[in-house]
Order: sequence, then structure tokens, then C-alpha cells
Amino acid sequence: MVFSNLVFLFMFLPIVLAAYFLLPKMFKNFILLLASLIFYAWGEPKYVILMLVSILMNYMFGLMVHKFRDQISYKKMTIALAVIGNIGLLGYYKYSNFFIENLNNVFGLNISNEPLPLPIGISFFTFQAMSYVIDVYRRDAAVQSNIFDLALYIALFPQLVAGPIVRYNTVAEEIKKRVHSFELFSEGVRRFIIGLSKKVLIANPMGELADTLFAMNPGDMSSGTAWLGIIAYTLQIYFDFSGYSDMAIGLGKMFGFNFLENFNYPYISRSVSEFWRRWHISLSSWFRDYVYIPLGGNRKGPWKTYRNLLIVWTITGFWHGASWTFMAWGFYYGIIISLERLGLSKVLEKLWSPLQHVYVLLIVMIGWVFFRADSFDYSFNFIQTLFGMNGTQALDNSTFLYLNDYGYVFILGILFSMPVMDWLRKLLYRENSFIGRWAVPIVSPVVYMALLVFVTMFLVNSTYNPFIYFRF
Amino acid sequence: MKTISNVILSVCFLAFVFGMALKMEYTEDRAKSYYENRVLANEPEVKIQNLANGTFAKEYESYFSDQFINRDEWIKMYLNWQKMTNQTYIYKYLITDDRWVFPEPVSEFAKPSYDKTIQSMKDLNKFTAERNIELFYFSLPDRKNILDIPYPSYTGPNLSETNKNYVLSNLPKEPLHVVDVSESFKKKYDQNELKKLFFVTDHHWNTVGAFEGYSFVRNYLAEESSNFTDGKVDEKQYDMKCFNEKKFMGGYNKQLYGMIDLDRDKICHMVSKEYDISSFDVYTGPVTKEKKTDWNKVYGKALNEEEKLVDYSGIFTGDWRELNIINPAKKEEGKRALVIKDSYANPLTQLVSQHYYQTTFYDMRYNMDRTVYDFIEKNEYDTVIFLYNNANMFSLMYDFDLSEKAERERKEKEQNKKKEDQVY
Repeated sequence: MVFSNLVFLFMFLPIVLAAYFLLPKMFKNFILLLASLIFYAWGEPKYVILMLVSILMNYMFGLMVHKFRDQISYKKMTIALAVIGNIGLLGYYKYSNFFIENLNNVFGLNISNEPLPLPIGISFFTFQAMSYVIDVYRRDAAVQSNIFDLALYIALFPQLVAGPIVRYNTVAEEIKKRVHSFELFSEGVRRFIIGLSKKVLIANPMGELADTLFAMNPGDMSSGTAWLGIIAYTLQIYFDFSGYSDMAIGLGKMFGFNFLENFNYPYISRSVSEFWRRWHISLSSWFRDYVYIPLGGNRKGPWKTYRNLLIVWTITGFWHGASWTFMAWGFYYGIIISLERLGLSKVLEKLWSPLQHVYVLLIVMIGWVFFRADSFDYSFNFIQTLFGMNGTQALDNSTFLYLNDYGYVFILGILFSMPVMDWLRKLLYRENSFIGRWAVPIVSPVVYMALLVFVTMFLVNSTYNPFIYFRF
Repeated sequence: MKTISNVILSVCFLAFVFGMALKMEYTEDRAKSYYENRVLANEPEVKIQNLANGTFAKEYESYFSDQFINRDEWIKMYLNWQKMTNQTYIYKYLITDDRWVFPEPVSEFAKPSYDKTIQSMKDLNKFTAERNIELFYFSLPDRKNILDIPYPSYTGPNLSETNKNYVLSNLPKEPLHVVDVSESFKKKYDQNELKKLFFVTDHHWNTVGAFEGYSFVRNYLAEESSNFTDGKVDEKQYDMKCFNEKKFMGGYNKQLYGMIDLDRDKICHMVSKEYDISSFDVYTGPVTKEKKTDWNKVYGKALNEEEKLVDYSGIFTGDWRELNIINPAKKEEGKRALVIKDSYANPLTQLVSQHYYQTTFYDMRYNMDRTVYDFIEKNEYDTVIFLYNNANMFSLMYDFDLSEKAERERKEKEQNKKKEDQVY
């Protein structure tokens, strides 16, 4: 199930909220776990078993790691098995087709390669589960002896299928005991409506345009249209994914959980390194803590640091999808971040600040071309069209048509990819003004409810409503 | 104040989601969508197998979306939002500033199809000439071809006129009579006057336009057809009767969920003093006792029913596979006319059928199981008249010997075989 769906909003959510808040405290976790399993099973019933296997496996590994806490070799063997088990599960469903295809191509083999459907959110819940066992191993977290509580952590529906990747530490206490208040609930409502609006009002229309343009031959479109295509995709992926994270964080708050932030206006960054500190924060920090630092991080000299960076970023790319283009996309960031580390960032710092932004946006958008396109050929052709290198027109009728039809969404997207609301809030609340103290609290519920009605109007009409990060 | 704000927001949010959920639960499901002209999804049955394979979830989402509270109103709101944000097309339609609705411009020049059309007409021309049957082709002015549509400059050229000219200029010149009615419309009327001949929210002409078309057809036949004995039209013999108690739902407007004001179009008929329509015998098929029916069940059917909203086919004649009208007053002359028609001819059925003893209205779209050649041969027509709007140039509407249908079926078979081969 997805959040931006009428069934979720007007059936699933009210039922779960009613059951959760009406039943006694002792049933709350059970209600959430049951709701989470139904939420997952809604679209892919058979894979709920896979998730249960993952829960059981990690529960047992957690207990074993804890049991062998003083027997280093057993403990190491157990953690190795846990990592292999989790990676094996993810690898089988996500990467086996890719590996077989490449083996067949390279060695001329003919290994049968039936495409496996990807269980939704497998990359997210596998990484969450793995972080739990590793944290227990490192003694960063206490072992969970209650399998239902661990199951709730792994399967909790707000962040189950598209993150953020919540660390066990973050919610371990709240699984046991959490506070519910009108303040937290309304904060959750606000956050949920913002996320839903980002997704439905900006990401979906931008996605529709991006899909149309990326289905075209780059040689048949003008440079202007290609730029609209990549800007549309740049906005789609941000509002889609950050919108989902906002909804997850908002729903979490409604049920008393406080998840960490996953996005912090990445498109206002002045360097690529900064971009990755603001984009999908839970994934970058996961790789930092569980791959980069264990590889030695930056503690073992410059060459190993760069090696580690390239490894981590290539894996990050591969995490997003089983294809060479995703790996290349990750490697591309590894190189750029290494270059920035080598001294490019010092040069950038001296540039006029708008130029720093242009640099980041160009790098990121070119990266998104590889991320969005299905092949290297298409990516290179598209980039040639962007920069007018394959003889296409600068502008054509389509450019003006799309600008006319999607112009207002582009403006909204560009505007809200910057912290305008934060600026506005600061302005309104300055010096305890009348507006900040009285007008905003009165007007804001009206604005949020209007947004919700507006989103419903879009959803009733919606035929296009995918979540990009579901496939990861 | 902030606390109150939090409470207001939380309560409003819960009231909205719970309110909608409860209303969904206690509102009776609708069987059909008027605007979409389709059956709406029913609540799926809960079966273990459906739950396990995920089909229940998909079916339930379709059901929930189809039966969503005030669905039509939500969609109408959305369409108005589209208009407010100046979308070029709304559901593929251009809505002009004066709220006329037009389809997207024609961007395709389908030469292979048009060439087939031309060849089919050549073959039919030969066939009718050999049997001494008169053949007339009246190319009626299609609304989107004759009106100057204010498409934005970036929408690309509209090829409708090019397509029409290509086909008409390549049709045989004799003995077939090719008559481009739209040219005479253009000569007679300016754009403002032309707009009065068409519906604002539908792709057809209105009663005034249809009568103008009929007048032109009649005057031409009066001059050129030896089987036509009634002379030119006398407009004084016709009165216009309007039905103000009914509202017209144009085809375009229906697809736009009625977002255009329903009072923009008037519902009228031309009533003749020249003949008594009740004396005509009407058959919704071959001239047999079983197919005989009343005129008001065929023409203006919706005007006799309770439903306030009526559409084009309800005002005039629907698209029948074969509609025969016998005018007993013409029995002595005994002339038979075959009218091969599309929906533009629907307002003309009673007007044209007064001139012949038997007039058969024949719609190619519903006759894909018999050839026009056999039909003409069997029924011994004296005159064959085409009443096609000039956007109607695709070869399927000219597949008189069903060769194109056979070819299509052969290709489909081949494709299916290929698919089967791939499966095995």
C-alpha cells in the first residue's frame, strides 16, 4: 500500500488510528504490528512471509550475538552469518538476475534467468534489520528479547517500504514506552499533510512529464525540452522521496515515534559532499557507520581514504538498483567527492556563491540522467541534447507546451526545494509579533486542511501515482 | 493559542478522514457512471485465493476509487483547477476563452489509409456505374475542420484540411458526384455565423447547421439527380421547434463532466409542413413486420423521456446498423435510396427520407459482417448517397467489400500466433 492512496487515507488510516487510540495501552504495539503486516501484505501478500523470515532470522542472530558477547570468535562468526544472511536475502531477490545476466554475457553461458519480482522495500527493511544485529554486536544497542517488539521495529508501516532507514537505537525506547500528546499528534498531521502534498501536487505532475520526456528519443527533442525533462525528474525524485519521508515521520509522530530527519533541502547545497549530507541522510549515515568506517574511513592515509570513498559510493549506487548505470552513478559521486576532498572544495569556496549552487545542481542533474535512464547510450545521448551537441533545436513547440502546462509546478517545486517556509516562519514569528502569535495559529489549520482537500481532489483524478523509491 | 491551533488541526484532520470513511461505508454504491459511460466497480468478494495473489487489493482500490464519495464533483473540481492553471488541453480538449470545446489538432496525415479510401470509392464508383445507379458523395463540414480554432501557437499545425483536400481531390470525378459542402458553407458564412451552425460542447452540427446542410444536399440533388423529383428547398415550409425544458449534454461536455454551462446549446428540431412524418413507416432493420417501429422511438427518443439531460443521439436518430423509412406518398415513383452515413446525418433522416419511397440509412461501423456490394445488389437501389463529415476519411468507413477487415483479421491472427510461439 502507498500513503498517497484513497484506501490508505480514508480506510486504513482511520481504522488503525481508531483501534490504536481506543484500545488499552497493552494492545498498542500489537495493533501497530498487525497494521504493519496488513499494510505490507496489501500489495504483495506472499512477500510478507519473506519479511517474517527476515524478522525471525535477525531476532535469532541478535540473541546469539548477545549470548556470545564474551566469546569473540563465536560472536564474530555469528555477525558474519547475520550479514551474509541479510545480504544473501537481498542479493537473491534484487541482484541475482543482474549477476546471472552478466555471467551469461561474459562467459557465454546459458544459465536460466527467470526475472524475480522485487519485494517492495526489501532494501530498507533488510538494512534496518542488519543495523540492529550490528548495533547489538557493537554493544551500541541492547538486545531485544521480545520478538514482537523487534518485529514492530522492522515492520513498522510508516517507514517500512521506503525509509527513512530507522536505526534500532532511535526507536528502541519508544517501542517500549512512548508519549502521546495533541502537540505531537498535530505535528505529525502537519508533517504528513506536507509530505502528501509534496508527493501528490509536485512529484506526480513532474513525474508524469519526466516519464513522457524520458520515453522519447533524445535526438527527437530540443535542448529546452530535454532541460525541462531533467529538471522535472530532479524535482520529482526530491519531492517524491522527501515527501514519503515527511509522511513517514508524520505518521510516526501520530503514533508517538520520533524518527530522524532524512532530507535537509539538498538542492541548496554548495558542494556535492554537502549535498550528500542533506540527501537521504539515513542511507548516507548507514553506509558511513557500517561500511566506510569499518573499512578504515579516513584514518588509514589518503589513498585508502579515496579507495574507501569509491567503494562506499559504488555500493551506494548499487543499493539503488541492480544495473551498471546505478553503479556508475554511485562511482560518479565517489569520484566527485574524492575530487572535492583533494582540493576542489577549497577552489569552490572561493567562487561566487550562486556559481557554487550552479556547480552542485549541474553535477546532480547529470547524475540523475544516469539514474533515470535505462542505458549508458541513452544517458550520453540525452546529455548531448541537453548541451546542444547533437544538432537538435534549442527550443521547439513541445518546450512551450510543457512550460505552459507545467510552469506553475516547476515554480512551486523550485520554490519549495528551498527552505522558504523556514524563512517565512522566522519572519512571522519575529519579536513575538501579532501575526506570529495569533494569525498564524488560526490560519494554519485552514491552510493544512485546504491542502488535504486539494490532495484528495488530485488523488480522485490520479492515474499516475508511483513511488520511485519503492523499487529500491 | 498554539495549543488551540493544534487541537483544531487534529480534530479537523480526524473529522475529515473519519467522516469520509464513514460516509463511504454508509453510502449506497453506484452502478454506473453517467459521465464515463461505464459500469463502476463493485466491492470485491473476500476469497482466500484473491487475498493471497493480491487481486483483492487491486480490485478493492478500483472499487474504492470508483465509489468514492462525490467522485464526479471531485473530478469536476479538478477539471476547473486545470482550467484555472491554464492547461492547454483538459482531458485532450481545448476550452477556449468563450468556453467552446475543441479536440486536439489533427497531427496525422494517414496517407496509406486515405489511399485505401480513394481506391474503395473508385471501385464503388465502377460498380454503381455498371448498374446504372447514381452515386453522390456529400462531404459535410466537420465542426473542427470548418471553424477557426484558436489553438495556441505552440500546438503545431492542424492537418485536418490537408487530409480532407487530399482525399476529395483524388476521388473519381464521374459519374460519381463529389460535393464539398463545407466550401459552400465557407462561402456563404463568416466565422461568427458558422459558429451558430454547430454545438458549443459537441462535435456535431446543430439543427440549424444540419438544416443548412440538408438544404444544400437537396438543392444539389434537385439539379443533378434524375431520381429526385421534389425540387429545391422552400425554407418557408419549415419551422423550428425548441425543447427548452431539456438540457443538452454535448459529447465533449460529457467527457469534461459537464463543466461547461448546459445552457450554451439549444435543443431544436426542424418541423416540415411539406410532409406528415406520422405517415412514414419506420423499420430499425430490414423492412419486415418484426422490425417496424414508431417514429418517436427512433427520432428524438430522449425528448419523450423523463430524463432532463439529453445527448445528440437522443435528440435526433441514433446510429442504427440499418434504418429503413418508407414514405407511402412516394410509392408510385418507387425510388429507393441508400444513404451511407455517419452521425452527422442523424438530424437529416426524416428530411431526406421524404424524397424517396424507401430510404435506407446504413452505418458502416455496424455492418462489418456484410458487404455494401451485396447489400446494394440485393435491395436494388436507384441512388446511393454518402453523407459523411469531412473528418471521416479513414479507410475503415469505406471498407465496402470487407477486404480491410479480412486483412486486419489475418494480421491479428499472425500476431497471436507469434505470441503463442513466444510462449511455447
